[in-house]
Amino acid sequence: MITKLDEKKYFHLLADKVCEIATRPVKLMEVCGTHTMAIGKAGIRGVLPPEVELISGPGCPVCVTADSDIDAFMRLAEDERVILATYGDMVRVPGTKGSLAELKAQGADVRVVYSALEALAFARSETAREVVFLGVGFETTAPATAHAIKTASKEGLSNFSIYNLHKTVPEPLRVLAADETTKIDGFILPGHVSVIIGEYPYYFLAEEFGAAGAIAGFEPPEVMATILKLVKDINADAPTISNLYRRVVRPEGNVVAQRLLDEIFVQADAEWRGLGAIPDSGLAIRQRYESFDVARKFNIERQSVKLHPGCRCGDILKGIIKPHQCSLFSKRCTPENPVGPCMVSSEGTCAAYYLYQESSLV
Amino acid sequence: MSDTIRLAHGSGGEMTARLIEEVFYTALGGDPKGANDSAILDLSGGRIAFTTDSFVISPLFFPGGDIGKLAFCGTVNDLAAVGARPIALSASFIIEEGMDVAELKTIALSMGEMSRETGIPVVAGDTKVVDKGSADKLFITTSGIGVIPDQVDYHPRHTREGDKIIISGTMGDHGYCITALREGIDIQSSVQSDCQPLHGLVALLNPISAAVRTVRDATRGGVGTVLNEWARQSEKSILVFENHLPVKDEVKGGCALLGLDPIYLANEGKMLFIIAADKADDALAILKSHPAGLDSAIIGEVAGGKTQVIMETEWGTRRVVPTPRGEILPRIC
Repeated sequence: MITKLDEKKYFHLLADKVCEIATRPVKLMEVCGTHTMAIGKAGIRGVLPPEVELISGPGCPVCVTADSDIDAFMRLAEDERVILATYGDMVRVPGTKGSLAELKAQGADVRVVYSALEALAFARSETAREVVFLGVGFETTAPATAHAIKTASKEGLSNFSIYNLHKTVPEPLRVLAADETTKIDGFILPGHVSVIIGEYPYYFLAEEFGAAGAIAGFEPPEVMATILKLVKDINADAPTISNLYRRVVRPEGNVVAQRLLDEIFVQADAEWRGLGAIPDSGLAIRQRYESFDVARKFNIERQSVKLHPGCRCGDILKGIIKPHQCSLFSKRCTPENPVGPCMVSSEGTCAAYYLYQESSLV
Repeated sequence: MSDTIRLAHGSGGEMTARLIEEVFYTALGGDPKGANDSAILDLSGGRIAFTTDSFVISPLFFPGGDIGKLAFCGTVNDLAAVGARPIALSASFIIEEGMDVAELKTIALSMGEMSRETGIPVVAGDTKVVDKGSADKLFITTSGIGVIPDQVDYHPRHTREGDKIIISGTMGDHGYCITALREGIDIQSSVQSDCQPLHGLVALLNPISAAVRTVRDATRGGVGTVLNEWARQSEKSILVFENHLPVKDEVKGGCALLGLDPIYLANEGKMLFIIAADKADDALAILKSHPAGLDSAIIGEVAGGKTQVIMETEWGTRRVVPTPRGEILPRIC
C-alpha cells in the first residue's frame, strides 16, 4: 500500500528531479482553475526552480464569462416571473450594475444549486414560474445541462430553460498557442475536461504548434509528475501530448457523454472575456431543443459593455502578466469587492494568488 | 395557549405574562413571583468578565443542538476564553409573529437543560415579538457575567517566541454541519455541531495558568481567523503544521467537495490556546482528560519574523494562511 509518507517522498523526488533538469526558462500554463487552486494550496511554486514558470490559463468558467452575458442574465433575474438557478460561483460575479448576490438581497429569486437537475426540480414544483438555469462551464458540466434539457423535453416541461454559456477547452488553447506574445512551452491539461473529451482533441498543440502537453490529475505528486514530464519533453525538443491521468481519462474520453453533448448542442462561436470571440468555442443548443434556450424564448439581446479601464483580466488569462502586475490587484480589486471575474471565482487566477499570496511568501 | 406566536404575545399584557411563564420560566427555572426589573447578584471580589453575543443561526435546529443551546454555550465560551468562571446569563428573545410556540418551547428547554447541566443560571430575560417578515422566526441575544480568578490573565500580548498552539479538538464540525444542512447536500452525514460549553475545560488549566498565554474560541472564521488575529496582536509569525490539524475525515471530504477549507469553518465547542513551550505537554495532557478535549492536539508554534500565519503543508511545502476574505458563510451562529 502506498502511504501518505511515500507520496510525500515521491512528490519531493519529483520536485528535485525538476530542479535538476530545468536548465533553461520554461513557461508552463495550467489550463484548469482547479489545478491553479491545487498548486496554490500545496505550495508547489515554492519548491520549483526559478527556471520553471507556471502561468494560469483560461480554465475558470466564471472568469471567462463576458460582461455582456453577465448583464443579460442580471436583467433576466430582475424579471419577477423568473427563478434563476445557478452554481454558487456565478452569484458574486460583478456585472456593470452589481452582482446576482446584490439582486438577491433586493428580492430577486436567485437560487444556488449543485446540479442542473436541482433546477429542473424547481420547474416541476413551481409551474407558474419560469426556471432559468445558468448553464456555465466546460465539457465537464455541459453533459449535466444536456441531460437536464433532454429530461425536460421528455417530460414536456415548458417552464424550464437555459441561459447557455457552455464553452469548450481546445479552441482557446489554439488561440493561446498561436499567440506570439505569450509563447507557452507546455500545457498542463485539465483532468476533468479530459475525462469527457479524451486525449485526441489536444494533439494539434504538439503537431501544429510544437507545444508539449500532459493531462494531469489534481494530487500534488500528479501535478509535479506532469511538470517533470513537460520539462523533459521540452528539453528533448520532442513535444508530445501525454496522459498522466490514465486512472480516469481514457484516450477516447467518455463516449456516452460526447454523444449526449452532440445530441443537444452544436459547436458555435463564443465570446470569452479577455480573449474575445473565438470560433467554434461554444456549445449552442440545437434547433430541435431551442425552446429550452432562454435567449430565444425571451428574445434576449446582449449589449456590448465597456470593461473597467484598469482591469487586465484578459492579459492575466493569456498569461501575459501575473496578477500582482495589475494595478488594481489587491487594491481596488479584492475577493470582497472584485472588479474583474478573475478575482471572483475561487478558481480564478487572481483569487488564487490573493488567497495563497504567491508572491509574498518568504 | 395558541399554537403560534401572535403580536399580542409581545404586548406586555396578559398574553406576554403567560408566554413568559409557560415557556421561559418553565424551561429556565426561577420564580415569576420573585421577578423584578433586574437580577441582583452577589459577586465576591476579583475581576469581573462581562460579554454579550447575538444568535441568528438558520436553521434554528441542527444535528447536535439548536439556537437555544448555541446561545447559551456561545456566551459561556466567551467568558471561558478570558478564564472567567461564569456566574449568570441573561437571554433576550426576538420572536417573529407566526412562530410555532412548540418550537420556542423546545429551544427554551434546551437552553434550560444547559443551564441545569452547568449550574449557570439564566437570571434575566426579555421577549419581543415583531411582525411577520421583520425577523426570521427567532433571534436570541445572551449576555454573561463571570469572575476571573486572581492569577489568571489571558491575553495575546503575553505571547513569546517558541510558545506552542493547542486546539481542543477537531476543526470545522459546526460550520460543516450547518453548511451541509443548509445546502441540502444529499450525502449521509454523521457530523454534528460541536456546540458545547467549555468553561470546565479551560478551568482545568488554572493550576498552570502562568504558562497559559491566551485562549480564544474559534467561532466564525474558524482557526485560520484566530491565528491571524493572534499573529497581528502579538506581532509575531505563527507556524501551523497541516499534518497535526485534527479534522474529521468526513469534514475533510465534504469540504473538498464544496470548495471550503476546514481551517476557516466555524466551531462552537473548540478552544485554541497559546501555552509556554515547557508546559505544552502538561497542558495537552490536562485538556485530553476532559470529555470536551479528548482530541486536543498541538498544532503549531509561535515564531519570529514577519507578522503572518504560515502553514507547513502535508507535502512539506510552505504557504501563507491568510485572513479569510470574500464570502463568509452567513448566519452560521
